[in-house]
This record gives sequence, structure tokens and C-alpha cells, in this order.
Amino acid sequence: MESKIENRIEAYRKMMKITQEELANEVSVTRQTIISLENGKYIASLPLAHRLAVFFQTTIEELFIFENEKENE
Amino acid sequence: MKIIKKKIIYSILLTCAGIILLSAGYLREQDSIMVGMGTGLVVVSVLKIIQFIRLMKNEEKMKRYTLLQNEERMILISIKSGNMMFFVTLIIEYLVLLVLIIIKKEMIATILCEVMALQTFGYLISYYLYNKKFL
Repeated sequence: MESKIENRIEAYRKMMKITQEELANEVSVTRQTIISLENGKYIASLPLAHRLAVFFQTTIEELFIFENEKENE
Repeated sequence: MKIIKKKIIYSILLTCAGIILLSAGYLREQDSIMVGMGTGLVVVSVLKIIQFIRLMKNEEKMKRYTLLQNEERMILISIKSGNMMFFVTLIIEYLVLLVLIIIKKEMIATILCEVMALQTFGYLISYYLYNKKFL
């Protein structure tokens, strides 16, 4: 069973007024990974999701939206 | 730094393999395939060693290189492309095998068959080992 995962990384990044490059440096990935994440082409691993959530001072559940969660909303 | 040191050791080993191949090529009355492969190996690995030494001297570039080597998306891309290349290689070998059988080059066909069997066996063994490791 493959579930689709969307994220709010771009929204949070824009809210914090930082560039993709700055975010990439903060969470120790390349800018291409941030672009991929924001485009929904790449799904972050649990450690990266955790690093992103810690950086945005939120939770993983808030940052990443699972398809079935979206249907329940 | 640890990654670079490991890579330098691999490159030194490759240089040695290249030198052995090159020497063997000259000993066999300048076997052009062996000399060519040996030269290629030596040149590429020496260039790699120079590149790694230069990287070690530049902190900024070194940081970037380490990030690229450890980054999860890069690792995923590397695994996926390696996996795909393995199956593409098998298909190419299978096609070459068919051609070899048609043109009646039985000896080379047999060697290729054995190489393909070894590759498949190696894949199954590594699959089994990783399956056990991540159980």
C-alpha cells in the first residue's frame, strides 16, 4: 500500500522568510533536496522530517500531510 | 575526512591494479587491451587521488563534498541508479550472449554465461544478507 504524502515545507519556509539554500544548510541537505521536497517529488526520511520539524518548531504531523488524513479533514 | 581517506585508499588500490594490468600487458608482448585498460585505470585513479588531496586542503569544498556523499537523496539516487544499471547490464549481456551463440563463439558465450550466473548469484546473496541485517 503506497500512501501519498504532501508537505507544508514551502509555506513554513516562506513564513520564516528564508531561502531554500538557507533551509538546506540548516538541515544539512542540498538545495536540490529542498526543491524536490517542496515539489513533492521526494519524501523525506524520518530523521530529515524530524530535523525539519525541529527547525520550524512544529511537529512532523503538522509539516507532513498523509493522503488519508487529508480525506478525513 | 574519513570518507576522503577511504576514497584515497580505494584509488591507490585501483592504481596498483592498473599498474599490474599495464605490466602484464607489456609482459605479454604489448597486449593492447591490457595496456589500454591498465593505462586507463592508472590515469583515472591518479587524477582522483589528486582531486581528493586538493579537496582535503579546501575546507569549504570538503564540507560540500561530505554533504553530497552523506545526503539521503543522493544515497537514494545512487542506490536506484546502481540497481537499474545492474538489470540493464544483465539484459545487455543476455543480448550479447544470443549474438555469440548465433555466430558460434561458444567459448566466449560460456564465459559470459558464467559471469551472468555469478552476477545473479551475487545479487541473491547480497539480497539475503541485507534481508537478514534489516530484520
